[in-house]
Amino acid sequence: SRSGPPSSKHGHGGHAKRAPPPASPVVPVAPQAAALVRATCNSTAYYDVCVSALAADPSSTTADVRGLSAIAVSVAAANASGAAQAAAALANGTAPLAAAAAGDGTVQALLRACAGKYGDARDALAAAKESMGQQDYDLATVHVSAGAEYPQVCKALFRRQRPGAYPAELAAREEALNKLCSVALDIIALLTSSPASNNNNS
Amino acid sequence: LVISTKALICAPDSSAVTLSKTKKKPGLERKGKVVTDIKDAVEHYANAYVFTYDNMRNQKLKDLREQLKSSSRIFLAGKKVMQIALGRSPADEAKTGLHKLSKFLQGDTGLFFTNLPRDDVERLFREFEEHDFARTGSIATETVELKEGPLEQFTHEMEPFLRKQGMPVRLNKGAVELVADHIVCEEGKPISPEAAQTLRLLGMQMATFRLYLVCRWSSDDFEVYKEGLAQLRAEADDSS
Repeated sequence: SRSGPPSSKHGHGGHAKRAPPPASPVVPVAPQAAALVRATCNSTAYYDVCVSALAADPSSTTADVRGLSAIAVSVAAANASGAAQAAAALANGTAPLAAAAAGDGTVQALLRACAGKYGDARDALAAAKESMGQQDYDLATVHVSAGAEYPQVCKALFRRQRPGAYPAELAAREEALNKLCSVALDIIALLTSSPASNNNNS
Repeated sequence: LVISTKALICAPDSSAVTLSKTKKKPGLERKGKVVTDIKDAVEHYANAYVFTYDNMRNQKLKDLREQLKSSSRIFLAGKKVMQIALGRSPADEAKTGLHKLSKFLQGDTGLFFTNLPRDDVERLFREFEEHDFARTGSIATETVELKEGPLEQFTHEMEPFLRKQGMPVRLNKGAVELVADHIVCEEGKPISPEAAQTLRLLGMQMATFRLYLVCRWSSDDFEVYKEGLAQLRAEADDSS
């Protein structure tokens, strides 16, 4: 007798070829969102800064102009918070300074003042976020404007007392924050300059 | 009978008013003058401040204007009028950095132009304080409760009027008497018309007219005042 498993001798019928599944309709969400971001950023003084700031937040893909303005303020607020920490680190001596400035008491005092100013900027932008949440765009404008101005005091203080000792890190942070605030203000202005809001302006 | 169409076309229409005879809107002229005055102030004064206020009293402000007229100028105009005068961007500002003030002209704000030193201005605003009777709708700064008993400060003739204000009073041997404890107003709540009148009768001046600096501009400097920002925020909270 034959050993091993019995083999099947049944013949195979031909299989019908499957039709490809129908393509689902493509909803152009991404292109529309990208277009809105570009259009919104076109109204700002710093287009590239605006696009990169908004693109970093995933919710910008589904946001309207109001949402984009809130994102812009949030980005500026986060930046100010980081700058406040950096300034505090410099003031506390936990971050390296230029050798010439390390032992200068005046520079230390200026850095402490700067830490305070960046803290004020952080607080102002936090207040701006609150105002945005309440759709009080006028007050948000005030607070973002304040957030942009506080760091300027830091620069002015160094310019007057120790022009050569202004830390490069603070200079870079100041410039970045200033641009982000400018972007936020420009986008907020789109909301306050709409035809509906013009009726209430005195 | 043939009617000449030429006559109809040429007939003078006394109801027509030519455009050159129309009067300009008075408000428009006034706004134009304010813009001009602000621009003049920019040229004449070294410093400009945005300020906000609480419990505005027009007469008190007028008195302050008179007091400071030799060194300063105060403007309380519409937001857009002041912004246009200052310039809204670096492209249209009258002096470098002046457009920054425009960003802070929100809510109840005004402009203060002056040649006074900064310290003097800050002291002036800090010390300025004028008390007055609270108005209907303003927020009570404290709870005022009258206890049951005689109200010796009022004559008997006042009794009907006091009762009309919602006070539980009666005449007792010719003297006004409160028959039960009565809360005139509560801290943090809006003052009713009756409460406002009662506070006035009681001589309680619950409203304090104050000024707060919001920001300062000069040719080489710009400063933000946290207290002023906080006040703007408080005003927004009160109105919401």
